[in-house]
Amino acid sequence: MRFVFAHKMVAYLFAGLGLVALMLGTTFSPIGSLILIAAFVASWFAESPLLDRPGYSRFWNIAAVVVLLIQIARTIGGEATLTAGVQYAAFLQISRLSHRKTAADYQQIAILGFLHLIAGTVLSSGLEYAAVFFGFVIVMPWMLALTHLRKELETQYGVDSPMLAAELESTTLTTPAFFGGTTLLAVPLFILTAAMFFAFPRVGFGFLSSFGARTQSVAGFGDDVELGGFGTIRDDPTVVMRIKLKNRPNPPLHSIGLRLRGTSFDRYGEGRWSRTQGSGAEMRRLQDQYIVFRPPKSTDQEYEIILDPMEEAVLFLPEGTVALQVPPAIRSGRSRFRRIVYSPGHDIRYRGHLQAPLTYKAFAARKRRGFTERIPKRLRERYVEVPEGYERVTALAQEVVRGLSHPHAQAQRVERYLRGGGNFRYTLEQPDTEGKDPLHVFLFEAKAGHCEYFSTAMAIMMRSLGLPARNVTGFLGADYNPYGDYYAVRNGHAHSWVEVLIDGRWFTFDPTPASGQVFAAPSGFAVKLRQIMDAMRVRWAEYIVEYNIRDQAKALQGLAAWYRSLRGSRGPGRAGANSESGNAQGFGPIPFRPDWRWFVAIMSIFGVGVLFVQWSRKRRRQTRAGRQLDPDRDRAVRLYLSLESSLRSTGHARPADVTPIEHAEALGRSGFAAADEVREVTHAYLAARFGEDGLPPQDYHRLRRVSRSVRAKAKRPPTA
Amino acid sequence: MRIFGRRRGRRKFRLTREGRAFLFVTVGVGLAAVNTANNLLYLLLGLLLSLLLVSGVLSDLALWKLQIKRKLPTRIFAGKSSLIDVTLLNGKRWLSSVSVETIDELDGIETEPARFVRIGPGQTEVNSYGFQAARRGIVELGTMRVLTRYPFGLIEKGYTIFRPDEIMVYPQLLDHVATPPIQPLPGDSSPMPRTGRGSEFAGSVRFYREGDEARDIHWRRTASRGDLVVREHEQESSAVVTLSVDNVLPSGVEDEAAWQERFERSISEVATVASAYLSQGVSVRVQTGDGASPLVAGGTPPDPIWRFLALLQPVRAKAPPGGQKHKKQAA
Repeated sequence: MRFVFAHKMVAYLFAGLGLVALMLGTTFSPIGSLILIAAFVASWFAESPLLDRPGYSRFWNIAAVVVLLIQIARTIGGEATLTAGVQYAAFLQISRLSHRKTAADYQQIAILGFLHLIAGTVLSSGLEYAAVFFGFVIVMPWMLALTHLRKELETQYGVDSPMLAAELESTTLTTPAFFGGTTLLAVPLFILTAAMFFAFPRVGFGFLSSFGARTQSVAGFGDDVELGGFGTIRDDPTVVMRIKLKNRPNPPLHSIGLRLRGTSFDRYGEGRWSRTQGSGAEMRRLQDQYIVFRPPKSTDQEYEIILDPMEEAVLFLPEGTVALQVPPAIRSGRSRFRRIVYSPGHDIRYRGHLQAPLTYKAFAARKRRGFTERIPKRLRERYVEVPEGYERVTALAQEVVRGLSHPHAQAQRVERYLRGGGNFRYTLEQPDTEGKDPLHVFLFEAKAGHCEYFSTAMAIMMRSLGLPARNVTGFLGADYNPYGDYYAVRNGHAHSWVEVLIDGRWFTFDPTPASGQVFAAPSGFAVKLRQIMDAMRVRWAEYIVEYNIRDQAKALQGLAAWYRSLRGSRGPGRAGANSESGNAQGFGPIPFRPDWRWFVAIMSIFGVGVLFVQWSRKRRRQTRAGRQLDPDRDRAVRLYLSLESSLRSTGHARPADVTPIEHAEALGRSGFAAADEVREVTHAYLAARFGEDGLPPQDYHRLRRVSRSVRAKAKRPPTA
Repeated sequence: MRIFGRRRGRRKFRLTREGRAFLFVTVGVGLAAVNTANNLLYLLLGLLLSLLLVSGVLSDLALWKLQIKRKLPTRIFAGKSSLIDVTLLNGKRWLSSVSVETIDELDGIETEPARFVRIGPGQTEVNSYGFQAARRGIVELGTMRVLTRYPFGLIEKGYTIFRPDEIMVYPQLLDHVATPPIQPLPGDSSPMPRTGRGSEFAGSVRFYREGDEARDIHWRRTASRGDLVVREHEQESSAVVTLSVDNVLPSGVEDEAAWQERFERSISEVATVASAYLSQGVSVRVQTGDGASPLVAGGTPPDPIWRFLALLQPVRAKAPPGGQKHKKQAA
């Protein structure tokens, strides 16, 4: 491959990866992305003689200023600074790509590409970024090596030399061996990067903050939800949660009907459920365990839930959850327990926003029928509210439960009526309401709908019978991912059901027909690929994005235990004990708490190091001078060393057998342009170093300036 | 030609301008990582530091098992450009050495680098750098720096080889100098000028010297001794020229620099004239105020004269001397 083509291709790969890193965020609209891609492709064809036209570079320079002004104006007009900045950064790269001629241009492309990668860290933390990073690790050595070689060739032959053109057209440098070798560099780079990544102490001081991760929007968990919202996401394969079961059956089931409760709605009207806003109260906490009903027992089923950042800060809990374990967030190197808030309606949310998936544990009692909840009086009334004009629904409910007096039996009858009587059909298609009340259309005309219609119908029917009931949203079902050994909950698993208050306890009823509850585990190559990707995403989040000082401590303890076991001295026993205690503590302790004092300490050590280096250099200089010098003489030596350095750089170094004064005179005779300066500094040096004259600091600084001016004044001859 | 042995200085490295910028970015990313606790920035920091580390190792590999030879030109004249060849042998079996350069130090001043873009495994590459001595005399070759900025141009790593050497810089030759006709000695029957190189001096051979003609090589003797041997010729005329250079600096001279300039000019003239006479078959000797050069037989290379003149230094006199700048006479 010709050098020039190889370099261009690698530069485009590098710049392209940088632009992809920028586009991972939400700063580019689809049209903006298309324009960027088109400009990127078009710039490939910008070649000489177009690049050599005098107006071409001027055009791009003016364009850079104009676009900058436009972005500033947009920012003033309300556009996010980040968005404007990122778009301008992308424009700069296109501008550079459009007039790349010399090694310096390619260097700028590399710098911009790398800055884009840095910007990408605050725009995205997903697996897509991992792919971009992986690409960078491979392409970066190519880019740096080729740019360096081009610069060396330009230095050797000159930019406009035909020899350079011949070298750039040759294939002697960019051989398959070159690319193979530099690609192999990725292996040690990966190993070293990983080693350093895991070894750096995670001491976040929190002086700056990240822009946060992109959150997922899932309908049904906000303050209100419109009837029909879930149906559209039933086929959405996006994974929102992963569940790891302790003591899961072996072999694992392909799908499980796990019900994960999210939130509940108490008010219904005009085809919309809403939730009464309550301030809520912080949950009772024992270390990192949050008590819902009671502390966990060893007999409880343990679920580890990895929740992707969502717009709504809801914690999803399996049925029968009695306690939670949420690891403390680590901010500024300190462990801070999360604030978990319980609101009426059994609504459990976390405070703050997630920058990465949240991993928590839920402990569920194996045999628990219903749950109690202290309900404020005003809310109790809400649970039995039936909107006006629902007399026909009330009549239907009474008709269905005729002859039954026990509330539980009534609820079961209504559930069976909707679910299994053959009267209603599950469908994802939205019934055409034609302006009528959607519940009436569902119950009396279409008799078909999805889970929201069924749950709403049952909740209103129960209320019309005088039983408190509420609509609950969450997820039902999860598919096993063999590559990650967890159950994945997809957006399509979103579901709604009903909770009815009977004898002071809330019981769950799901009136949706079985066809709407049981989902066949998807299969096929695309699904397998998706599962692999999701498993990688989980590992990326677990080991990279969420890696913290606690994990570091655990890894260190594990290493220590492994080392002890190798040595055989109390090793296995202690290692086992450690791992047990680690499990008992759930997410593990933090060994130390670095804070601003650590920062000060590190900076102090660094400062002491700098001082030590300076002192040792001074010491070496004095040793070279042969004795410990007083301050005046020391300054004189430093002054003359500085002069010698200037003379060396101008090609007039003092030969070893020539004294300073002889050298100054010889330079004067040879017509050296800065001979007067040299003479002045030399005389001052000799007077202070060997005479009785002093060299006070102000004189020293003045003469240092004189000595530096020698470089500028003298013109270096081409050769010796 | 000199082959350097294993004696070499400690590896030294310094950051290039790009390297300093790279380090600056690395420190920035490090600070941002520490401040934000953003793990992706830690990952980037790891990558940047790894690149520096890998760069350091690869530059070591580029310098590993390199054998360097320096070949000096046979004659170097003051004020005239010459090329000094540097030969690099890459002794590695599998790896190329890329982007290597060598920098010589002549009289304490670094020369232009000789650049080698790529030396394949087991291959030898020759490159050269230009050298122009400003004045005659001996130029000391001191250390030679071998360095590389491979692979990324971030770190310049190198070592120095210390093996002192010398270059004799002959006086600057002038383009046009008149050579007055030579008067034969009284009683000398041979007419001047003459053609040819004279007759071969029976049985007389000597070792080859720089400037000898290839046709004078005595191949049989050369083959038997293993060194180049040339036949000597004897002149059929006894014409000898003594050229005089006044190297005595008069005491009390006002403009010493101007005298030095004239002195150098006279040396150049004598060097040029001597060369011209020798090529005409006239034997030449140079007489100075404090000594004389060896007599160089006509037709032989003028190097002994040039060497003498290259090293000629002025001497100070107590009394102002008289005399001409140089004089030519038949002896």
